Amino acid sequence: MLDLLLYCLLGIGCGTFCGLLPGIHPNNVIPVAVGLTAFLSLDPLCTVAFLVSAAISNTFVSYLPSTFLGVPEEGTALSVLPAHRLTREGRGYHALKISTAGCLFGLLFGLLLLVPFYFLAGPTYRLLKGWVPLILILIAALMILTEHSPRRMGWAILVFILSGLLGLVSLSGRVCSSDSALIPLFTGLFGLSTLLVSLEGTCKLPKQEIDDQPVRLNPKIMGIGGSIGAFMGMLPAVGPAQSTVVAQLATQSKGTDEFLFCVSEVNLLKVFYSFILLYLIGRARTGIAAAIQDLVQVNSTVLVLMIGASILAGGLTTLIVLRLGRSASSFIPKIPYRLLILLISCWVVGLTIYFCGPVGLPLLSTATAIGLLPPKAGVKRVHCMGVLMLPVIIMGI
Amino acid sequence: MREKTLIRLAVVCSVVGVAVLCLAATYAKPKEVELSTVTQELGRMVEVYGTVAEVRFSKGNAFVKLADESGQTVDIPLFSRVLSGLENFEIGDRLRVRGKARTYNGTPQIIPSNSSDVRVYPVPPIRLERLEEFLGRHVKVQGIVREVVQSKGVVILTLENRGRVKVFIPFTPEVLPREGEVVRACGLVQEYRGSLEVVVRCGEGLKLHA
Repeated sequence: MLDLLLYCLLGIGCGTFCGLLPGIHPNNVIPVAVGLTAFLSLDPLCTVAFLVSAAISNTFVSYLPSTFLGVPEEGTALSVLPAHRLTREGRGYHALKISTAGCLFGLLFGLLLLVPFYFLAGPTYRLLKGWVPLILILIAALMILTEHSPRRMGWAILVFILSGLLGLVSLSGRVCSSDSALIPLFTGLFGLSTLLVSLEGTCKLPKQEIDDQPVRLNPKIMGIGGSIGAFMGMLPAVGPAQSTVVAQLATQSKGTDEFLFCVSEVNLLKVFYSFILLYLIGRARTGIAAAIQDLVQVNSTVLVLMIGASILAGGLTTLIVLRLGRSASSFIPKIPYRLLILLISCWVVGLTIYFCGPVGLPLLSTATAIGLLPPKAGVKRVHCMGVLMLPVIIMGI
Repeated sequence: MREKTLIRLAVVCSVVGVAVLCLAATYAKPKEVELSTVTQELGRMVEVYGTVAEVRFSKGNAFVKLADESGQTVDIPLFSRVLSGLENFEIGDRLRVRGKARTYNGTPQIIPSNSSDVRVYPVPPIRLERLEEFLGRHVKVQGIVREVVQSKGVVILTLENRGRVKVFIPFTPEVLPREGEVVRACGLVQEYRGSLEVVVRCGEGLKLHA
């Protein structure tokens, strides 16, 4: 028992560390964790506890850099713009509180959803799995239709296609490994481009307010958004961003708070249900879930273990994120904004070269250029998700 | 929702998470493996099932050699804290043992950490006329000593109990059974010059009954 608890705490530490460093994901520690399990003959259940808690913690903590630094990952891509905008208004801590509450309530709602999901997951998966390209086309069409005016729809289509073509080239595995390519793609499309736009007229981040403004909970978003997030997570190649778009359309949520809550809830559910799906349909939907599948046979005991590790990691990481958020709120505004962006850019370029080699730099610059189009054209940045959607649609067809 | 409520909720989640982990740890059933594959599971919790082939008691501990039907063996050290909670067992009884797989001096070992990790399945002595069915396996036989032959440090007993069997003891036991006494011998059934015999390898395999 104590060893499981210890490995959970180690996983929380690892997830927190990886979450704080933009571009680093617990997927990067999988080879080390699995290698050590074999080399030191560790109990695989302990490694499972480590990986699950690292993944859950990372999901919570990854909102810190995306909120305060504007650097996203796949799951936090859509939250960057509204969250970083709140930071530039001095309300970064409030944005972080919303994201943390979204994650925690996502986890709790995910637990409530376990019973219906247990009965519906199998039939729903069998029904939907052959229709992934069509579902993605529908989601893309819905995303474009929300732009209302024909001019903006045209821009949205252009951004979607350009991002999609960039995805097709970079995720084919010919330029560099597709996992590594995600770093320059998402950083460019959603991170650096956001920071460059926000640089206009901003010399310094304002003092961040640490108030006790309550997070508004909307049961409709929690329920419908969470259910959609959990069920969409079953589909291969459907990421949290696409699920969020569907959830947002279904709930008609409009405000920044509701949007941030919905994104983080769906993102957390995608990670949490990737573990549950290992037991229910035997399919891995994330790198960590695939590693767990290789380590152990997922039976009911492993399922309970993964649920326990997720709840513990969720609870403890909430406390950690709020604490770190307070520190970041007082520390980050002291750094000159241009210097901060320069440091982040250097970090991102360094990471890109490390993971992709020099070939990653053209990917990063192209992605940044495409990412600059939506704010200039006045359309939503979500169309940049074409980077993942278009390759899946084309491969599926 | 205010921040304090969020923090309270997070604390409750942490406590519930620990409780659920406890539950998982309690019901986590280790993988059941064959004795021959224990070396592939080193460092992991495993469960094995086999027959006690040898047992040696020393300073309150017992060192058991567990065997399967193919003759593959694994050492099971039962330290005093584990042994004190176990019912008596002898060679020929079956054990189900749960513990961490290791090697000691190149020999595979499973070390149970408490008595609930070991379950004893007592096996009664077999009927002598069925001895052939147990060739190559560890059994218990019981009968009246009809003949005792002692030569060059080995002892051969002939037991009778609705049939006859020779018991080969390749050492001199502390108490040598005498004709007419009831003896229980626990050991491996093997064939020697066309007839079956039970080979007792250690002193614990021979017991005199009043």
